[in-house]
Amino acid sequence: MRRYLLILAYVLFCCHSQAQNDSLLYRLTPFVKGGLTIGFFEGKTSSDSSVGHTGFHLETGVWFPIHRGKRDTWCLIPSLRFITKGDTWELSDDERVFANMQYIEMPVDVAICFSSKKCHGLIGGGLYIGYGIGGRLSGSDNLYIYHGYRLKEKPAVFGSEVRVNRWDYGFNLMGAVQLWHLYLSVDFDLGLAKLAPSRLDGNDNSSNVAISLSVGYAF
Amino acid sequence: MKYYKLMIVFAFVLLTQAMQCNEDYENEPLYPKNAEGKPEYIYLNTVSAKRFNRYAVRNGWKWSGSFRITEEGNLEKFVFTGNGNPVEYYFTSDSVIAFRYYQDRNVRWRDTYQYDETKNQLNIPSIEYMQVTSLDSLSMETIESVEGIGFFLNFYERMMPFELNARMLGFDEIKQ
Repeated sequence: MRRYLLILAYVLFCCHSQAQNDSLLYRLTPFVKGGLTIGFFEGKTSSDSSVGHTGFHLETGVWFPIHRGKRDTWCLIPSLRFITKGDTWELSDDERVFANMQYIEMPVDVAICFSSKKCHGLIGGGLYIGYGIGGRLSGSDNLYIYHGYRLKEKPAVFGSEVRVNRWDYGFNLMGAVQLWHLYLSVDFDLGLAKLAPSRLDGNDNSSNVAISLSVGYAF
Repeated sequence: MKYYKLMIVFAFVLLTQAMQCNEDYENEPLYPKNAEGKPEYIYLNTVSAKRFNRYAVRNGWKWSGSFRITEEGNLEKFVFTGNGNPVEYYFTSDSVIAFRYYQDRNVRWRDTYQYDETKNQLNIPSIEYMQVTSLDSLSMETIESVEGIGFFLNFYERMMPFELNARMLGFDEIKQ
């Protein structure tokens, strides 16, 4: 345990000492970020209208500079995040069904970093892979059954009844603006995995889509 | 270098695992049995009491077709013969008038009912089992049991006023 703490302290020390004379984007930079996520199922053909799921995410990762140019730098950005996704379906004005799913995801992005004197910008994309660790299907108070699922029992989304695919993977696009150690970012996840059985959403080909707005800190 | 190769293998295993997890749901029966042993539509949605009162009550419902639900939960064609015809209904806010065709005569009777919106179930003492699977202003679908034959998916259309009047006048009233 002490060895890991020493390694962590050494990494932070290196980052800090490098930061004295170099931009954050030109060195190995750990970061944390978190914020709002809006998710929905893409490709849904059911007549119930989707109004999206509002959730959150927490993410940590590292910016690895892999190519340094005069005015720009290419970075590899592997990270690990906890994210809530899902969808909300509106059957009528007062009848709603909520699919709430929690994932652990590993996005790996390649980004180009533009720099000016005071701020930096990142635009990039890559792939992500995720594993569903939990989630429930629920509904508004006056809705008891949705597609045969007993909503008051709050069936597990990844359980044997609802049977949503635990594995998710797809493309990830990201953009960020950094000012000193703080930065704002936008991520767009486009899932490629066939997600839900047709019983849940009336479509065999639906996949996860999520838009995330984050506030982060780069060490 | 060793860790680099390990990471590639790990990523490959994760991706192949993710791509293999899609199950085949195409052969699921549409009307499997629920926890109570009754067939239930897998896409069943709540028909609220508010909706039932709005569309079903103060209307007559004439039978327009049926399918028999097999033990496996699939639908099959069925021709009613003899006295096993489906019942037709007229709902008021607290009672139901049921109409039934027999070979020798047609009868109607009044009964009480309760609508349980948690199960979409219509509890009518003289009817063994009845669940509303969908309802709108012109049509109603139900799952009903017919004694000795099994469970049926029944389709109903809303009666015109003259159709209801004809049944009220032409069917013999009996006591339950």
